Amino acid sequence: MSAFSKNTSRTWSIQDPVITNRMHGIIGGVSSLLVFPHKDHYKDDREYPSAVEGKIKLYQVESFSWLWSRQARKLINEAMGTFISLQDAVKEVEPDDYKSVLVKKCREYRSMIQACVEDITMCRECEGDQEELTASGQLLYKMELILSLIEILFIDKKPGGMILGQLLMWIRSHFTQCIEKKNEVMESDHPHQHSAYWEAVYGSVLQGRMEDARHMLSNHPFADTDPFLSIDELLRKMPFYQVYGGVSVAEFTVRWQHWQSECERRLQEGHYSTCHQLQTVCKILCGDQKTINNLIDLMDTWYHLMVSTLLFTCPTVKLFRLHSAAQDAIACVGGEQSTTPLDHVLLAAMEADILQVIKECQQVLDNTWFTAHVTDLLCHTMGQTTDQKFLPELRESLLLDYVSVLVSHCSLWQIGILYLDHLGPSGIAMSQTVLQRLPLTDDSRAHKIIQMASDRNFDSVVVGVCRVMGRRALSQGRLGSAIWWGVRSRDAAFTSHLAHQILQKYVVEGRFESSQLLDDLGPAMLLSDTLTFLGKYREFHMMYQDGNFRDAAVLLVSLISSKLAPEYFWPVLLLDALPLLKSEEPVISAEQTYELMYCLHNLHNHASKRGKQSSLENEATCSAFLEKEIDLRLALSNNLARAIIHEGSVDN
Amino acid sequence: MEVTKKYVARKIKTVRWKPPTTDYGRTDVFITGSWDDLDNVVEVWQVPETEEDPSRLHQLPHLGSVNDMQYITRDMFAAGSSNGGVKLYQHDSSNHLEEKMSWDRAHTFVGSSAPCTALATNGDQIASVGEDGNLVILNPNQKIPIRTIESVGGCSVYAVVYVRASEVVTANMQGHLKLWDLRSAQSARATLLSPDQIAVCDLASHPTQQHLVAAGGEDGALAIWDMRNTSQPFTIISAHSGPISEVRFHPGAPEHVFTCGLDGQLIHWDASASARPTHIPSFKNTRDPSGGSINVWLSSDVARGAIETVSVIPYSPLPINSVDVEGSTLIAGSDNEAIYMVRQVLLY
Repeated sequence: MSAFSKNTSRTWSIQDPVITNRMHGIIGGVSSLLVFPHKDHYKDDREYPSAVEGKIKLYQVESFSWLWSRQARKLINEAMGTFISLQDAVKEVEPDDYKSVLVKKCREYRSMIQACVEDITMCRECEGDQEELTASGQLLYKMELILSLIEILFIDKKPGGMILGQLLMWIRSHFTQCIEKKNEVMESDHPHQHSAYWEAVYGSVLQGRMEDARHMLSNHPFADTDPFLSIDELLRKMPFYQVYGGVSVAEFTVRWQHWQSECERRLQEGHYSTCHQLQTVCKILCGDQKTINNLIDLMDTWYHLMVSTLLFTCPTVKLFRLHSAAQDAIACVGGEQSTTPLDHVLLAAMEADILQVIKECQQVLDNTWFTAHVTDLLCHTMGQTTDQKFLPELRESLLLDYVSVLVSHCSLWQIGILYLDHLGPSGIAMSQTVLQRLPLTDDSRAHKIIQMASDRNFDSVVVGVCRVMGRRALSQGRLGSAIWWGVRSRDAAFTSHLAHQILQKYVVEGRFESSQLLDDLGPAMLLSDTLTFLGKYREFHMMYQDGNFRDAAVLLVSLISSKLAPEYFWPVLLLDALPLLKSEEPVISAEQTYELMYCLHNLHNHASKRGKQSSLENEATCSAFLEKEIDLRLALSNNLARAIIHEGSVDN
Repeated sequence: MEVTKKYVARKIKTVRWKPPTTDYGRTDVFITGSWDDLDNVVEVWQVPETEEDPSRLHQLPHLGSVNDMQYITRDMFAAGSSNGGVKLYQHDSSNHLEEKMSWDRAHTFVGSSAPCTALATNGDQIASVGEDGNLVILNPNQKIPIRTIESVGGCSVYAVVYVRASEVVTANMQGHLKLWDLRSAQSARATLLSPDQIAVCDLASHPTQQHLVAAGGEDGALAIWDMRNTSQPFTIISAHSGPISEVRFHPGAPEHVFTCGLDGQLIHWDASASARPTHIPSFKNTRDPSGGSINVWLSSDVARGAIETVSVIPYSPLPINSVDVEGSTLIAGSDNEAIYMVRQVLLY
């Protein structure tokens, strides 16, 4: 198959003999691809019968992540809380409590995975795609299995490096078949006659559940005979090492060897010759490799085999010897050939090779959630002890991968942003990029983006969002909304543009469409000159309406003389002055009249200068104004005369 | 006080208790609406008697984000969608939902649909507001809106509330509160201005004293308005560090107010300290207006801003979008795809 790019703006063309015509593809987004078949354009359409041609369809191929399924959403949301509290906790916590914090957080992750498994089991009973649910369940099981092993081997290290106790707990909680079998057997009428009776006994012994094994044996009709009493004693007396048990390793070893030699003695002396099943139990206790290996069917996996073998051969095993034990166990179950990717992860963990663990995890689990969170945990753990330099970088990069999955989903972007807060400079950069590019579907989404951006002091993002909203409102003809967003973004140019639009509309229509808005601009008015003018002009209207002519006149003249008004608006202002000039009581002083006259003069000059060049539209307004000009001049001179007399008489 | 958090795999925009079947009854059923997802839903939940999480009873797909929901009667509610439509659902006693009526283009911009932002109801009609700035009055039995009051300037309206049977107050992005008398054909009876053009994100009216309206602002402050004095708010108290998304008076003990916000806080405002000593507020006996503290919200303590505020749920970095309270149990929906439930919320 050959695939090559044709240099037509990111449209890829795939040529393959199997595909009758070519296929084309365009990258449609972060995680989508648009694919469509090639169609030649012939000049003569009749060459192909229309039935064959059909319509060309565009196929959108999107990457699907398990993380987008409903089952995973709970995990994503809950993990976010734990992740953030972990980042905060490691900064504040005392070095002594460091480990316990990490262990606690690791257990939180595990418990949320388990809760998801439970949800899925509940779902399976009532609804949904069974296959998908089963796959989800298995995936979650694997994640939990790996995470708990990582907790034991890397995070919750016990003093002295004794790990068998924890490994045993790990096996017990993940392989519950023997307990299920035991319950089934014990519920039957005659437990000892049940076909799985001895399997359940062996299974319990192999997991070190001695109490369960003894309970089952005591239900046997021959429980009072010597062989049974003897094995009961051995099971009861088996020593278990406890880290904080107050017994030193050396002392434990002595006790344990003593106990095992007692087992061997009884075996050799033929205590159990009458009952071969008890003999098998005793052989397990003696750590007989062959016997344990033969019971592999009860254990399913090599790691169960490994732990069970270690339990009866080397209970004080330390981490560094675990690897060879694992290799032995794998050899028993069929060697490297039969291992699965999951086995590789576990093996890598037992080799204490962090990098390998993370690598293998990426292959076994098709989601970035797990690797990202595990790497974060490991990075914090190792940051304390060793100098694994690659870890912080790896953590950042894997978490960024995870976030990029989150933000490419329409609904999970907020969680993505919260993760980015803890990912250093590249996180902040990505956070800004993401917030800028989120589709602004409605106001409430815009407000949420603004809130997130302003919490992080991304001023440019806030301004950007407001501008987009403002311009959209403008294109929808919602001037009020547009001005609000413009003021919000402190975008002087945009608000000026809007104010001009309102003024021009006023020139044409003679009324304000959004007067309410303009009345209450408040301090926002000061953002741009035009907006200030607009606000003040509106104030003039209010005064005039209220009959407060004197103040209105002062404001009007100051508006005219301050040159805040755009030139196309001057005629309007001067015409507004007309009724004031004609009012019975002179409200415009001589000084103010001069200003108006000066303004009129300027306007006249401008108008006559541009007379011929101006467009038809302007001409119409100009000529309309010129008609009134005579009227205006008359009124001005009359008012000037009145004002001079009035002022003179008041002075006297 | 005990807080439970249930993850529901969708961001929750609205939570509402189903009203109790009688005035003195209790309710254990609530509805939620999601937003911003590929497929949004309206869901019905039941709170079990035991201390368990609520369980889902019914789910119905919903076109667009569910921006608001309001019960009109005890078994009928309206839902406003981000695609500009309002839908009427029947919520029967077996907790099954059924669509009864739909006004698909209640709110429109030129050529496209405008999100419906909030709904209010007085028991027999629905008032709907949207980003187009219009106030649309709908009759549940009538396909055509009874009345559409168009805005000037097209400022998005974010909240609406009935203060009397025929009077509604709307609030818009500029912080203007307008009082409309639906019987008269005139424009707004009064305009109330929040200072500094702070957008008002939600309104709530006092369950018994309807001239009292609480407004949650974009700056995180709660303003108390007395509709008899429209020149300025009675008091403004800041508590949230981000926009307030919803305000609710406790229906039975209205000296308690709950607000939630984009800063992830859910705050309990307790004004009962400024009331004269009265009997302990309980759901049953404060419904009658004579009982309890009548003017707590207009007391001098409140005016000074001396009011007790307590954060009800642990801090969440994501917005809490909606809150509702009935009896002693509070529910809230968040962008963390979780429903919070707080039992015994008044007693701590």
